[in-house]
Amino acid sequence: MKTERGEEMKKRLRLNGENLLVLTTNYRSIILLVILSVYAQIATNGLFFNIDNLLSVTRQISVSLIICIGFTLVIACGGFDLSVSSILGLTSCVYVIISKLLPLPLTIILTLAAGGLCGLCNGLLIEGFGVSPFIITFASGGIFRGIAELITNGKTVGEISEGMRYFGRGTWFGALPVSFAIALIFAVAGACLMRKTLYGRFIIATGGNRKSAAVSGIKVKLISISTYVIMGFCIAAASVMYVGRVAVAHASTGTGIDTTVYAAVLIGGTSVRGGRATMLGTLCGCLLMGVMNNMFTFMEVGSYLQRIVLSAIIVIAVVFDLKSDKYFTKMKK
Amino acid sequence: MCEYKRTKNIFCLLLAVIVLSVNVTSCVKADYGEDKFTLAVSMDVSDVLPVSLMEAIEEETLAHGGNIIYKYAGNAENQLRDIEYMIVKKPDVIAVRPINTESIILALELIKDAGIPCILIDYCVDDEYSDLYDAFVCEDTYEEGRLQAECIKQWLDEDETRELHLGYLVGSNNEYVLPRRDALYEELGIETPEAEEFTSWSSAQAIATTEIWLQRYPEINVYACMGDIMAMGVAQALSSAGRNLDDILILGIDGCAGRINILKSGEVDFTVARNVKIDAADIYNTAVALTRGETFSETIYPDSTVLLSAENVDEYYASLNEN
Repeated sequence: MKTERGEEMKKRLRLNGENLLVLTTNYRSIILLVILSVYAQIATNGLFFNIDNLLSVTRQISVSLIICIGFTLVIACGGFDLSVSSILGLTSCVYVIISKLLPLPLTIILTLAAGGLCGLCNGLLIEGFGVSPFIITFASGGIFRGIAELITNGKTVGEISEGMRYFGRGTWFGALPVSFAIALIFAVAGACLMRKTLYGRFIIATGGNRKSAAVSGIKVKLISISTYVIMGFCIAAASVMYVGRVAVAHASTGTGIDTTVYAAVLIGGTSVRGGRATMLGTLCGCLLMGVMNNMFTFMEVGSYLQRIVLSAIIVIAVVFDLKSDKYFTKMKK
Repeated sequence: MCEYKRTKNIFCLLLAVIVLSVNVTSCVKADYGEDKFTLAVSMDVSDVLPVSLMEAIEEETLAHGGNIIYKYAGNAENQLRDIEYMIVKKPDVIAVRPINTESIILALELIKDAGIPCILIDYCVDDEYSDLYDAFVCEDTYEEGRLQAECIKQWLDEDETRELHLGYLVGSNNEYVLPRRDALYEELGIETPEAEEFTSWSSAQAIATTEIWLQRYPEINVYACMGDIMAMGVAQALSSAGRNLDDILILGIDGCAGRINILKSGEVDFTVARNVKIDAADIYNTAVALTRGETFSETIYPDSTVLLSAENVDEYYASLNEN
């Protein structure tokens, strides 16, 4: 028996064509990240791994990383959210406006609550009426953006306190940006939630096969709604970092960040059909987006072309995900 | 265990690739800005003006044999990102036309930390952050308002029967452009005009405002605008209403090359232009002076404002192209 297991392990460790394909598929975001980092280092004449540059990359990805954590849960559970940027716009405006009336800790709590409430609305509408998350979150995005415009009167709100700036500009241990450190804490918490808790397994089960999950006693609607609430909470936390960095908020804040978030999560290995997710993959996907953005800036690639490339990445990641799933299912048979 | 071992091996392999690439590329030297003066400029893309100013700065820098790194940003977040990238390239001086004077503080702090001299263009940060930049080069918006007032005075002097009935279209309420309005009122000796409206640099809003004024204040004979874009709207609304433009004075500010037709066609009578070449030369000279250790405690106002009408607009742009 022992020898059989040993043989099996040896077989799995052997680097043949089949194993290589599985490895490349499973670790695609890490492999791509390394290839792109090496290419960026060469293309920028050795400036990419400059410590200043690496720190600026971490500062730039903090906001999208926190959002990606929440988005991974939503996708893993078989949902989707098109209202990401609108919630970011709304919570940023709420954060700045209420900061003028209340002390900072209370302001942050209320902002997180506002984000959670947005997510709760999305979740309740999706699960309550059984409507596609694409339709509901597309419409709710318009509502959230409208509310942001209403409360700001369409104007930019600013004049934030030093305490608020700390989240976007402060450093720990002399160099590590606070925003990135907090984003990493979110990533670790997200990974623990997915791998170590029953709740994480319920999310995967719900996303993988909703009917089977329901039959086995999982409250699928509750699990699904909770992922949207966590998503809203994560976006609100990201808005605290965003405002700390940019110092102002506007109803249009966050426009365009959704493309980066979708691309990062999907390229990170989370299945667009739900039932499979990895926080390490999401982290790598997010870093990959940051590296690519940085490289584009160095290579003087215009923002229009960047948008085309990002959108193309989403298409490629989704197609790759579907095709590889089909291939491996066929191979197992 | 097997899975763990495989993951560990992959990570080690990938880490080795990164370390190797860092070692290899660190031997290669960057090919820019090593011996030449390098100026980095971060510009907003709010209008035609920043683009023409950027082109003029590039021309000026290259003409002096220097290097230029420039980026246009559409929002505050992108401008921050651009400046972070510029800092890594270590230019001699960084010049910034901020999109938002609050958002730019972080970028100014990073520039300061990197020990690179910094020039702010047109928009300044609060006084408490004055130690974060080394020079402030600003368009003389007061002079622009004063020149508009001179035009009005001249127009009134041409016919003694004329009386001033002024309508003023404000672009925005920020302290950078308000001197345009304040100087005009001060020179004309008026506290409040017949009508004043905020139209947020929008031609459509200027049309709507003029249409309302035509009903409520039909006696208005001078329409002064903070920008040409609004002057165009005023002219369009008056033409649509069948008003004779010969009896009315319309004034704008900007005079960008792309909008000179409004002067030639007589839609707008006068505009105050900004000679971006003079601005660019002042910005470049200030940058060079900063690298020599000179300090600038006072705001630098380039002598670049010029009054344009249908008579001199062609001559003015021809002279710009000649130089």
